[in-house]
Amino acid sequence: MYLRDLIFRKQTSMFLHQEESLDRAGIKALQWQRLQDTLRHCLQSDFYRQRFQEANLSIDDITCLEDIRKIPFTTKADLRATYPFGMACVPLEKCVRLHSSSGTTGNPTVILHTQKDLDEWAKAVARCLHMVGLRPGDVFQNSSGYGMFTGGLGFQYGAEHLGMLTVPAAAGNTLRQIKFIKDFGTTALHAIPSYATRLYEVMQEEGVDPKKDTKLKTLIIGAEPHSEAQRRRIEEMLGVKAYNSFGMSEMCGPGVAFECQEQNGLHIWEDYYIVEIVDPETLEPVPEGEVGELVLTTLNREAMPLLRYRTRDLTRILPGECPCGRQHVRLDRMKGRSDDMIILKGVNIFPIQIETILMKFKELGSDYLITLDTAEDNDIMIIEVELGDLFTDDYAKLQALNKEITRQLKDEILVTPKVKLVPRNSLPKSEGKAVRVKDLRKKF
Amino acid sequence: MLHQISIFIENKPGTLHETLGIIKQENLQIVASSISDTAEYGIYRVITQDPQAAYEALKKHSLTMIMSEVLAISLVNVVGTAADTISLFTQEGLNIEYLYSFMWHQNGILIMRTNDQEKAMEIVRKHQLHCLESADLKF
Ligand SMILES: [Zn+2]
Repeated sequence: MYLRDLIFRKQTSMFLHQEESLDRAGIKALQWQRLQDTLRHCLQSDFYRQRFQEANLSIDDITCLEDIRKIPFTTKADLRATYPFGMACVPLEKCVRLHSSSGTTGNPTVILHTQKDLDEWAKAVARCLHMVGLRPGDVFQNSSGYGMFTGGLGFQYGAEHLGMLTVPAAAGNTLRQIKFIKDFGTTALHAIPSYATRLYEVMQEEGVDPKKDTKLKTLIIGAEPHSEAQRRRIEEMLGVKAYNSFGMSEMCGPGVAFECQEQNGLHIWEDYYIVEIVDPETLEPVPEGEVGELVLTTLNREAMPLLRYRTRDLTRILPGECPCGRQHVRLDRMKGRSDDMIILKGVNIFPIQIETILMKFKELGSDYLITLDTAEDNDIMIIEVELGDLFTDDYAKLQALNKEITRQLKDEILVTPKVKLVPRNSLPKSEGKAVRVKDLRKKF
Repeated sequence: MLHQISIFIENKPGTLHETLGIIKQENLQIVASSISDTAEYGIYRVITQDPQAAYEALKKHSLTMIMSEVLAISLVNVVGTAADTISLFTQEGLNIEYLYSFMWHQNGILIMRTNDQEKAMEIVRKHQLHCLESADLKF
């Protein structure tokens, strides 16, 4: 009795919701039940009814979780084509909010929410924040933009749901942010990584020592790709623990996946989503643990459930169990967008794989250009990479470096690229952002 | 030893001209220079007066470069001296990474970089070879 009591006490403090503590079998059972409910609900909409008809699919054909693969994918193009309300699965009177994200091409997209959707969203965000140790009594400051941007209201409602004193500081005005942090005793801050660095710089200018003059202990970072080294730097500068957050506007916003205190992969809440990782080309599932496109099916959304939504984000499921005890799978850090995938000689290559190798060499700068070309009917890959400060003026050493880069790249991407070292600042830039891939191959 | 600035340039039309343009713009006095290249890139090596100032000036143009020390051996102008001098180093098993020369006050100066600069200095002392220092280049 004593032991059971102890386990229960430990678990109630560790998990915010019962669903969070489920084991694999429990997760699967709940997913199957919620998938059936979701499908029945979806088929009340013209959009999904038509989709199922086109695929010659009936709800009775889905007899187990794995059968989800029979269901056609949905994409951002669907959201645009049905703008604004074409994918709603409830009457508009039942909706209480919408978030819209502007597209650079074509229509914007809209996500509708019922009150229940908003409550579930707040619960998911609260669970994430609770997972990294935040509790009522903490003061949570949000430096996200508010309005249509989901990082504002998303974290606001989640933090309030958890019971924290929440400061909607919104974006910008760094001096005011610092004043709030000091005056209100902010213990947790949500900021994109580059802004966290900026805050630290301004604190230094103002003579504020974050470790002594503030109560900051937790930072939530996300929405902007960053390396592990960058995270560690932020943690050291501000004297905090920084946790990676993953969300996307199509899936409400923040709260989709979040790092636990192990800081090794982001638990994705499988009571909210069915997770698939597919090859972006063949759309077949990738072998376990391999990188592919993240495909999500929402399991508890009313207004606009999404079935097998292709997120375009590339990641993989981390193998093995997390030492924290949660059995919801962990996603690896996002590895880029599937639109960036290169297919060379039948091999799928992601620019991030190349970047990761190049960044290992301290002799190199940070800009590179991948060119795909055809030479004598053969596809070739040329990687030009800028040097940093010249480390030698000895050809032999430069050639040795070139050879080592080529070897490590070949190990990673399985084709042998032609590596060219170039002077710094010599590669083309567009709008200040480096151009990464150029495809000059003959199209047959 | 002399300070030498080595600039990494791409082997394609116009890149050397561009670099020379920067050197001219910064009004640097070139004492000696040499260029060597492979199919893809070249290294332009320059010896200037006041190398530290030259390095700072070039740095503003974010060139890909490095400053290093090279041996500058002053030769007596007798046929065959260069070959004899070089053999002093190769006999001791040193590898000569590169070599070029220029004239300075009627003397031939041999710029040389070996794979072991310390051992090279020993040989210089042993044979009492006369070497130029950066300060010697002041007009
Ligand atoms: Zn965990």
